[in-house]
Amino acid sequence: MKTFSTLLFVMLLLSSATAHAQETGSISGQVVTDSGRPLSNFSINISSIGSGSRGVSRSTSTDAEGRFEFNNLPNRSYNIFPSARKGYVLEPPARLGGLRLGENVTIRMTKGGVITGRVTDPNGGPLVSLSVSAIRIRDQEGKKVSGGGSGSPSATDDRGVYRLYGLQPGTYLVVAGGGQSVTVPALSPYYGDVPTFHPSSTRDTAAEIKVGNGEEVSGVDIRYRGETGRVVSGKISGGETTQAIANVVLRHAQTGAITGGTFVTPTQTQSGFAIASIPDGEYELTATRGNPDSGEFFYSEPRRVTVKGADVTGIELRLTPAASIAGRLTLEKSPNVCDPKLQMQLEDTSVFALRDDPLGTGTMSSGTPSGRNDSPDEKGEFKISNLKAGRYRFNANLRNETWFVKSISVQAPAGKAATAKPAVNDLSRTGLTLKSGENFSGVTVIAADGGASLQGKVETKVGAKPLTRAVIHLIPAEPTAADDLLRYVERGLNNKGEFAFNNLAPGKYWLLVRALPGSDEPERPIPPAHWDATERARLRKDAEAGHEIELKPCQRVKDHMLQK
Amino acid sequence: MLSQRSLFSRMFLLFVLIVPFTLFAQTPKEGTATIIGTVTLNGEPMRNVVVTIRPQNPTGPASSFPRAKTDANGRFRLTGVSGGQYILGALAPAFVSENDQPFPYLSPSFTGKTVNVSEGETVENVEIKLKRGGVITGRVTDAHGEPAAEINVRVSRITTPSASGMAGPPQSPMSMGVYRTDDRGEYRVFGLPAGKYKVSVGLATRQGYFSMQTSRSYIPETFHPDTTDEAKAKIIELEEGLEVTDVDIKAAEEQKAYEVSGRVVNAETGQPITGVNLSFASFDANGRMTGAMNGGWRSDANGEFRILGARPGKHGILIEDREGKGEFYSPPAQFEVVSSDVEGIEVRALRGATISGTVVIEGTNDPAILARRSQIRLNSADRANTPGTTRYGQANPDGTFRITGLPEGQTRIWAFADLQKLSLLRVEQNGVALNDSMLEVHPGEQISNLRAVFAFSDGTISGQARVSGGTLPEGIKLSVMLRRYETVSNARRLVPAGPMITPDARGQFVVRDLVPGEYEVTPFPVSQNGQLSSEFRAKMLPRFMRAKQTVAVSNGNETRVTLSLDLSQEN
Repeated sequence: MKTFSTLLFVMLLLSSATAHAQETGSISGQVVTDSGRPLSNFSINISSIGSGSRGVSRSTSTDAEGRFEFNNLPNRSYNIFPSARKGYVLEPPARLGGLRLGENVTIRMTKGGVITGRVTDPNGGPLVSLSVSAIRIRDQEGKKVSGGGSGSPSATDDRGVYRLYGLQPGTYLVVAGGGQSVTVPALSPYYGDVPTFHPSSTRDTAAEIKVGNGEEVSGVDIRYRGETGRVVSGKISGGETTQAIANVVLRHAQTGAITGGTFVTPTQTQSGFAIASIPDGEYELTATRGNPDSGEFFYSEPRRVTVKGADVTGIELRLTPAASIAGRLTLEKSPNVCDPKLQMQLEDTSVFALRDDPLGTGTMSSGTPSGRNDSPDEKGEFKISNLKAGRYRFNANLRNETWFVKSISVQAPAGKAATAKPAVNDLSRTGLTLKSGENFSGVTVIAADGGASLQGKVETKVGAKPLTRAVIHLIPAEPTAADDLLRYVERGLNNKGEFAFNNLAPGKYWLLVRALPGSDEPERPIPPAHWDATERARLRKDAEAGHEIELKPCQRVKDHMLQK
Repeated sequence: MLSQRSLFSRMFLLFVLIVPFTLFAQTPKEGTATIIGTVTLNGEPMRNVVVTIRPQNPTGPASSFPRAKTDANGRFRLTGVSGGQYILGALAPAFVSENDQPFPYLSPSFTGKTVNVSEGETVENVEIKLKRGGVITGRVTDAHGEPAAEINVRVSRITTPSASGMAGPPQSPMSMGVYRTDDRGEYRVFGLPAGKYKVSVGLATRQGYFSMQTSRSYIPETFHPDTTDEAKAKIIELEEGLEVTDVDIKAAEEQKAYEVSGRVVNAETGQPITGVNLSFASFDANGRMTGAMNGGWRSDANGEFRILGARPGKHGILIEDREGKGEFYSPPAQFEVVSSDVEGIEVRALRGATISGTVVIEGTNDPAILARRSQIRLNSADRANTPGTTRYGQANPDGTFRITGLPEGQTRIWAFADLQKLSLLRVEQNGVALNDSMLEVHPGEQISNLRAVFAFSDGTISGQARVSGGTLPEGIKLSVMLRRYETVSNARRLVPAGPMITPDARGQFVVRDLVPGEYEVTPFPVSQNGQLSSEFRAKMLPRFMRAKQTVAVSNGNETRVTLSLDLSQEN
């Protein structure tokens, strides 16, 4: 009987999801400057949250009055991505996520920062048609920005003058040449040169330029050094069946910043690749090949490359097929229904896999419930493709905060040989090790109603140093949950010491605040401490005598104060 | 969290950014020739100028070729050059070259000089003459007087008839490139040759001309200072090396464009068809297609599509599945845009024909060359390359190929050009060569017995052209026309073998990668403005024709030819 009622409940839920999916509506808005002037011709993209292959993704542009409208959208939650152009940047706080049908949003844009200067040779002559770009290294609060993204490059004119605009507020390094050329490749007069950073240095000793919204910093001149860089060359093998172009990327080993890259077309496989303009230093070289959307994707393990005073030749990169994992997300009937009006839609969720990489060089891939038949949303099937070999940890993002992920496991389907490894069942504890080319299926993610949430703030003791860089750990207090990674959360505190956790399983938790070593964010993301068994034991030991809280099903705890 | 799609699109963006500083893999092998010369500015030596070479008729990707910098005396020395014919030029963007050959891959303002070298040879005293380029700069404002940031500025040079009295179009503007205004609406174009210019912004919307911008609004083409009428555009007179400022443009009021949407359905079953590529076409008042754009639009999981940017007028949506993997094609689904979005357009997909067969390479048993069959891409389209008729298929390693989704009617088969030392000789059906590789396909037909015959082409012609009995008139250059004898259905005829060849200053020329066979090598006059007067044709052409030579070419060998053109010889 119980089984039947569960089934019925799920069926009801699903049919309501179907009904929802057939309703359509609009999301509209306007893009204006901070003074209210409409901005025409800004492209606007919209995509449904957790969109996989069944996701909805559209684009339009603003009209002469700055207005845009998306019609006939299926009933989902959406994110909007406005383009930032014409020197404007998005003015925070703009609510662009989690939009529902019928909403009308006003997107305000403000003038970004401007950096200008002149690039000259040692005799003061202008360098013409040389690309100059700004690499953002810190945000306006001084926090390090990972990845080292940069705005669109500018080319110097006949006077050697460049102008970089539409910059997000923050701190930048300004670099001429090398990396991002705006002219035709080998026909730039500066091709093969090592980049010169403002004022006239390598990246290590580059001067930092701070710029705020609407601010123009001029005189950021560069005395161009024009030194010839080295060439890193070699061959790739593997993945020929895709008939696809392979991408080879050279990253700075320490910062992960892309220093160079090239393509290898199928016809060039025998002749190999070569990347020029490389300054001396330590690098990591990787290659990928194939279409990420087709599921036929190949990659190479990173190869360490040391460039010191000479070209590096003869590197061989072997491409191996990527792995995938497939399964189903199920909603379990729960005795706790927090809000009968709220019903989770499977298409609003996403299951994701994080590579558990002890070196911290892992990448992240995410997948969404998406199936291979005409009614995937109801089935909750998902597939995560393009995964490198290695150990993965799984979790799911549930948009509705009253739900939580109860378990992630492998269940062998009855009467059918599972591709699962027999030893593995509870993936939330053990993770899953995927081999190259492996297509793993049969993962079951169970979500349930009755999740709790916890919001609060960490206050520093009077006289104590303010917390500049700290994380807060949420640790299950029950000994039986000691290895249930779904119950652990690690999150950075913002600069006011605030934290927020959603979609929590009910139960007892310990809260532990830890200061992080160093004054800066690490150059590369570091896996959460609780992934490692030793670290996890240490966390529990540090936390057990400290702050404990019990979260009841559906409980919303707000303004929870914590002393540090 | 970022969706997977946006993550990958970011990745692709990254790679797009990386392309420019790529050194492509097909680096030519180190040669033994040397080119020595000088770079001068108004006769004075120029230092620190980068000089490089490119093959005259580039095939394949931009490779890295030798480059050198001029010393304090303006001298450069390019070493490691392989034997061959090149364009030699200076990479000096603020300057204008006085030389006359377009520099491959560069904008029209970049030119270079033809140089022909043999292995081991040293060519000396090559002079690259530069002039200071001119500058046009100004500010663009929108109809409300606000700066028009990040919009494209078009600079066109008005060419005048050449001094030699050659016939030519009186005033045809030549695009000198497209530039962008910055965040203040300002632009600055440099490195321009002296001359007369028109400057404009916005979308060209004149009759019978296809253009499209995928947005809700667009600026109609507006010329400096503030007119949409090209005849009223103010002409900028630019003198050598000077700067013309305040070439401002007040752009016309933005106009509305509309979204058109609909569905792709199977014409037989009415079922939606997902994942087909679509093109947007426009038609003139007489129903003639003025052009089409393949903007990456695809029918979605429900067969639906949305295309933004349609201006009032007659348009059509059609299937454009060039990859040749899809089975469908469609005639354009036509509609008219008046003053609102258009919904409910139904593109009716028809099942196309399939052609298949094998690729063979003649003239070699080398397994390494035979293995290159998988690099061959065969294309099929109607003779006029009408949008929607182009399909292609990649050959498999065993030489088989298959192209699907062909519209009914005549289709021509040809090979994708990026095939070094492989040339398509003919296409056979049941052992009989098709005339001009043309094939008639019927709706849904399966044609499976084709043979695409390629030749391994590694022959070389190196020649010397000598002019005696006078000099060529100003504005006329000596070029060389190359044609190969071909036998189709027992009929022998001449077919062009590549574009016109320009000999270097010494009259030398080299053509590589030729199909073995018999060739006719003919000197030919080429006018700088593209046209020869009828008087010149009548009087001088026969003298050129008389100097032609017939030579035999074989793989791995170099055939020498001398062309002696006597200008004084009476007809």
